[in-house]
Amino acid sequence: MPRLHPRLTGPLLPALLGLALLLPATHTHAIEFDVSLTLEGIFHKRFDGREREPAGFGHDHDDDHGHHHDHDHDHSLKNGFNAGHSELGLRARTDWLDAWVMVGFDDKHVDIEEAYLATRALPAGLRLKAGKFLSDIGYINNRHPHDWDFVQRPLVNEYLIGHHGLLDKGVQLSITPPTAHYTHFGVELLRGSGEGPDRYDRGGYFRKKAMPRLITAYAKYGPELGNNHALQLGASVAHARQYTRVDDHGDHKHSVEGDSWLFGLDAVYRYEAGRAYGQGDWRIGGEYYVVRRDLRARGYSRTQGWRVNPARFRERQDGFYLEAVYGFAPRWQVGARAEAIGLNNRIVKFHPTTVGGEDASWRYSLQTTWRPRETVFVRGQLNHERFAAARAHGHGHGGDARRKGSWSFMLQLNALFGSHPAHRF
Amino acid sequence: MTQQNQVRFRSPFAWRSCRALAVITALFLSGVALAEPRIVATTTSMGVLARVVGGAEATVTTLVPPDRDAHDLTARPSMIAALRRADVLVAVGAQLEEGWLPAALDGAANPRLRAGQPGHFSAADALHLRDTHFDPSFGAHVHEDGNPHFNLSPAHMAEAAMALALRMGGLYPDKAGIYRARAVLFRMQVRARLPHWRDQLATPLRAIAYHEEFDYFAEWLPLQLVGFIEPVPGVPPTSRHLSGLVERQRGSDGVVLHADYQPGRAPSVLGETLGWPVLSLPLEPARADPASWFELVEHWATALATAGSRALPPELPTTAAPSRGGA
Repeated sequence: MPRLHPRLTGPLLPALLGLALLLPATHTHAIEFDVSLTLEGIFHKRFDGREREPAGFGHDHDDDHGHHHDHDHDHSLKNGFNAGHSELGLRARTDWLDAWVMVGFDDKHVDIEEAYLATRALPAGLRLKAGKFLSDIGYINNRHPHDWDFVQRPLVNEYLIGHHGLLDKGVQLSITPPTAHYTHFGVELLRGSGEGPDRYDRGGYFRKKAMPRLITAYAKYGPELGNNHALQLGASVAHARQYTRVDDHGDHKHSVEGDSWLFGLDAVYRYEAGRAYGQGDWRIGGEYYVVRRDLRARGYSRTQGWRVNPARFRERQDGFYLEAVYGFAPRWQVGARAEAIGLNNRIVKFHPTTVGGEDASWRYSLQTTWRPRETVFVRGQLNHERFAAARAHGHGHGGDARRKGSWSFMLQLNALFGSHPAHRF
Repeated sequence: MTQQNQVRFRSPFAWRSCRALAVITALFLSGVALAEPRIVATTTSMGVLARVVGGAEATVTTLVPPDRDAHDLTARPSMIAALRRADVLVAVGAQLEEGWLPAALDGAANPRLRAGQPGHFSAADALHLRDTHFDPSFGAHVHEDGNPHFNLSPAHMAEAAMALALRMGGLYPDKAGIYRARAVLFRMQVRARLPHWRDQLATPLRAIAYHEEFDYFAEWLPLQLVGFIEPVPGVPPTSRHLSGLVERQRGSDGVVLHADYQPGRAPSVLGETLGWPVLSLPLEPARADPASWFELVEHWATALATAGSRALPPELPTTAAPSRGGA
């Protein structure tokens, strides 16, 4: 019998438990089961420049030796055909509970991405969710790739929050008060899986703190604007009680440790023209996030141990995206996105003695999407990246390649089979 | 839409007496005024049912604008806010609102309105729907539970009002009597007018419709649907499909029907090629009140009667005609 990877068995157990809990509740209403399968393929061609990580955000953290952040598969697109991100979604629903399991896979990996239970019958507009789920902070974070209007996750979400967005195990309590205009508030206590604002590298000075290591809160507001217009504004905050980054060089290592705060604002505006097949519709959205880390830097050498007096630093990094999508013909859309990360890009330099600035990295995308059916789309996208290279720091690479742009083209095919989820705002 | 308001109709005796009876009954039964239910209706037609049963004192909010396709919406924040505060939801059901209502209900976190709860009234569940003409197939808007557009049939609307009165009577037992009386009156009004609407169409009429909602017209009007402009519901017509329709209908007469929110280009090309009049009809009343709905039904009958009288035998086919479909 093949052994299941712990990554699979971890969330599988609560999910099965949840399903078992659902069974006794079926006296009156049958369980509603939905299955959906999303398949994706991407052709990608970088035809000018080369792939690089934005300065200050690379997982190698501005050095090409030593630490590599422990992420077992990378999400960069290779030239030629890519498997993309496919999903198998299972939903069970009773009168009282919703159970979701979302399995994400490509040609090499299978992950239980989401597995959670959510209540349906609490009073006062309350809803409790537990398991592994995408956080509801911001706008795009809780959306699966099938719902995106561009091939890639926005840079700010990928590099400031996580390669899968903020996806973690924990509990969420949210409330929708009975107000005339839409308002919604939520709090999440999350394990802090060790990526993004809650990054935790082994080998630091402090031991890993107990969960919840990450706490988030968010608010959303949507005024009544009539039949053609709709707007949703949101604000989010996340606090990681522990943040640890370690550069290990064998005989010695450096660590920066402390806590981090993430603040975000998001806005989405929709115009519905009321014509068939989405013609004339607009969607304009943007998000801005800034992360602030209060850190203490220490050095460790095999002979002398940890240096006693840590130096204090404050890091600050931010990013935004702004995107617009327009239905220019029945079942055809065109979209443009501009995004940047590191407009504020103050991070502790290699050999943690000072806080230094890195330049901002920019990406511009232009896409057109055709939906022959509601559940199938073909998307062509052109990207222009101007990623800043890390400033020279005496380790071999430096300013020569700075600001050289790169062009790439993508063709994405995405098809959903089975019950398609309702269109959220 | 403006034309719809110009339609006037001389009240027959039955109609006038029904209205009088309605007023008297309403006055008689509405002695006890408790907290009135806040009703959210999806379409304007469902809003009409809510108003018929809930009466003037109920708060009725509709979610789908009357000139929109209820298939094709996004769960707007304002919908969530309305659903959060509602006591009763009146939906069409049969998966018509499947694209947005579940998301809006999840957002509203209002346990009264969960599917399966008494506060969630899905009219289709209480009706015998007409079958859909299409095989459920991948990716298209095909409704396995039947054709959900029963609002195009006055008799179905009357039955839905009866079912809603029963449901709301269960929720508000004190008012069960008046709810039922209002629904019965509505059904009487509809039944009294059906022959008049039907008789406007002197001769049976053949029609090509954009989408299968018009199938319900065949239930109460001498109308026969001979084709659909959409090859599969929710899929825009292809030129091959249109020329196939032309080939099959060439030489016969009829009308081309489409809803005001559906694209008019394919219907007008088809109408021009076949020499059939093209009718763009509103499918939802302008307001969620019974008067507006009666005006709408009157408008449908009159418009079809007028178009029917214009549906002359087509001109002799020209060589240019088939190539139009390929444009």
